[in-house]
Amino acid sequence: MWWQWIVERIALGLHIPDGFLHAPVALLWWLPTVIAVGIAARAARQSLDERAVPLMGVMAAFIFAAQMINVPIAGGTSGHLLGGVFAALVLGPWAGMVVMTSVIALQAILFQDGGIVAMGANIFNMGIATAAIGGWLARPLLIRNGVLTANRLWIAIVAAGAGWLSVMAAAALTSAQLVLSDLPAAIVFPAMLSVHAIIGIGEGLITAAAVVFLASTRPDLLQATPPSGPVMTRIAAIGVVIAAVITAFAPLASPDPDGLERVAEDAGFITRATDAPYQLLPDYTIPWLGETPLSTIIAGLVGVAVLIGLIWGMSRLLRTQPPARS
Amino acid sequence: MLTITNLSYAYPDGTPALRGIDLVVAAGEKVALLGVNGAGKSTLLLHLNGTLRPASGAIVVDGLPVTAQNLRQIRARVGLVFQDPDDQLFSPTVFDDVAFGPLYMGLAPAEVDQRVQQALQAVGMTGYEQRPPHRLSLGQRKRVALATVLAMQPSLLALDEPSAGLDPRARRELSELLRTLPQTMLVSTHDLALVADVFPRSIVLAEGRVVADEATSSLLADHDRLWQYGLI
Amino acid sequence: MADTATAEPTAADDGRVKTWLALGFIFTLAWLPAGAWDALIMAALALWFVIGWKRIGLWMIWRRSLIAWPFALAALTLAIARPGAPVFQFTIGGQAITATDAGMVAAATVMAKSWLSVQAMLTLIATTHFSELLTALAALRLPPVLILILGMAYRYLFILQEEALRMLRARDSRSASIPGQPAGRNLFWRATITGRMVGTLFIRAYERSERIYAAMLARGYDGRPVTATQPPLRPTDYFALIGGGIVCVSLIVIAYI
Repeated sequence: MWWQWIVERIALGLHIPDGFLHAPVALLWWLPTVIAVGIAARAARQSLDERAVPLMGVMAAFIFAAQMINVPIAGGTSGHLLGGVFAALVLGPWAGMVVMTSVIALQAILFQDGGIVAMGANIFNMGIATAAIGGWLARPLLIRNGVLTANRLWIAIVAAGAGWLSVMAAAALTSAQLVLSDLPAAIVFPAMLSVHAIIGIGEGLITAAAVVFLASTRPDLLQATPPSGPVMTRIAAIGVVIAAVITAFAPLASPDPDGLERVAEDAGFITRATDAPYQLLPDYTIPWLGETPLSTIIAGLVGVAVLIGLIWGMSRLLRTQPPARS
Repeated sequence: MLTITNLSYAYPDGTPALRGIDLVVAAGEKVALLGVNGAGKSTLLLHLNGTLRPASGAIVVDGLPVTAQNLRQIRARVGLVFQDPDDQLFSPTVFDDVAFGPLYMGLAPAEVDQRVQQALQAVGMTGYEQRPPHRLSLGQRKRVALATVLAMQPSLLALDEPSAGLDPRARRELSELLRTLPQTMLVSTHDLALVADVFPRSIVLAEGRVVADEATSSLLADHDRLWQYGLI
Repeated sequence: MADTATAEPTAADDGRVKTWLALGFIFTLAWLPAGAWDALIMAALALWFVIGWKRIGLWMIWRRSLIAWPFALAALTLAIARPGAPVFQFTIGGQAITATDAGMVAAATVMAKSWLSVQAMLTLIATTHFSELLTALAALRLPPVLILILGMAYRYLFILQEEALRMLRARDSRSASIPGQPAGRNLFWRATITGRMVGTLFIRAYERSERIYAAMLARGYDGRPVTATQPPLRPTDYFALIGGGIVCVSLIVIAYI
């Protein structure tokens, strides 16, 4: 049915086409993407040696194909995987980023799914951020010193949580970029976050089932990829991710949504980004949603997500011991 | 049992794959589907359970026409087994895989258990319930793939090249298995030994048309035509 | 799937030139401000002229460009976001919503830029082999590893999609129902099955990559990227690049003066 196709394309809504982002916004988001992909390509090559090209190339084709495998929901609509968390869980964060970058680039070039100028933002949202969550947040919780935890339930919970969080992070980043390009925050944020809170459940369930399946059939594949990269590059990458998340949530901090667009035009968003952490989520509600239960719930979820990110980032930064290499 | 009338189909790019197939298979009959690669064998099998939709023509299975409304019921009646068992087996254990069809149909756990046991027994894989499918040999995986379909108790079995890639002993075992199964069968294959062993009737497809439909014994005796059809 | 893949090249133009021109055109579009109609119309005419000149088929490009329009609905929200003179007003859930003139101009501009960018990419894809695209990207100093990975991904993309399609068919063939019985259990179970299929496909892809790696080693691959030397650009290529550059610069000039 044609309308299902439309619903699915709108619901996915993460592949920003060209024309939507203001040129400075689009170019600015190329910056962390280029840095992260540059580091990732080097790190992945170091840890995988000459296997890097065949493994990551086929894995990119795999993610592309895996996105075809749908789960029937209801009324002919269906959900499918984004795959960033899965890729990073099985391949490690760096290889995961390279793989997702290839996937998003191919989608834009071959299928016009997502724009060219907007590709920097798209890669960051769907590739870098999701792989970071899968590789740096979830993976250390499952694989310690190269050994996968035996607790299947824990694996499922962590993978599902990371999958959900990754979709929410991608949706929040996408929303932020659209809002910085003058789309109305009062519509974009609630629409994107509520739709993707549901889509994220599909991502979480599929990711969890896939990882548990691997854990019970080929655990060696989950443990195969060595933990990657020297500590400094990790810290640099974490910094990029944290900065991006803060930028993404900055618009939430504005108490005056109507003034947002003017601020963006007049002063750029850098000023807002810097003072954002101090007024993040006043009174634990989303201003433009009023004091409704929904508002509090969304604010709470956003708060939890940011908190997890910050705590995990801090623990990483404070860790002095370099990770064991296998 | 199975009636196909004037079935035609073209690939999305416009290449015709089937051109006016007419075919009647009686209940309990075992029919071999022969023809070179690209003759349309797999395409025809994919029509039997509505995976592909005909451009024109009609298919009736067990009195039920294959239409969009009947799709799920048709799939309970037609057991389609794919050539590569790895396409079909996606569960951590053999039990889970065989149980998928019965579970999807909404059967009670006790009934699911019973059907899995029966199906595994029919293909001679009892005792492998908890094994992961990828640890099995190709012959065993093909048997399990057949069991996943048998557990749904279909009345028509449609198998796509069941003996491809098997070693001689696995072929012999498959041949015995197919002989003992009571279901009506339409089986695509290149394996003339298997055809002679199991199937009294043979149909030859060429370029999307039925070019021969006769007793296997007379077809296999006609060396010239086998050569002409590209079967030897 | 296959019909969206790169088509036969219709012209003997250098792939690098075509790629750079398309990218330059799209980046130029991104800089055009809201309401720059003269520049947008000129851009459209320039693009359609090339499409007609190279006999690509404007109709085919337009038909395929429909892929962009669902997201274009999001641009409509711009119409109510910008301050300006109210054009019309409507009420949703007791809340009055006003579309302004400035907002509608912004929304229309975004849609036009989006549509033209997609057409430029479709034009590039319709005339350029994927390998030529990779050559052009390599000349833009993309890391060679990334180029090789993209090439490898493209090589196996359609094979793995076929594999996924066969798995989907096998699953759907066993997704049956009997009359009077609800089928499909619940969403949780179906998502679990989907996850297992993803896991299975992953194992198959991983093992395939190991076979490919072994085959590459067998042919002397040692991990160093092999890059073919690229032929120098011809005078006509330079003319095309300069011409395209002039068009892009003049679009910016027209838009801002």
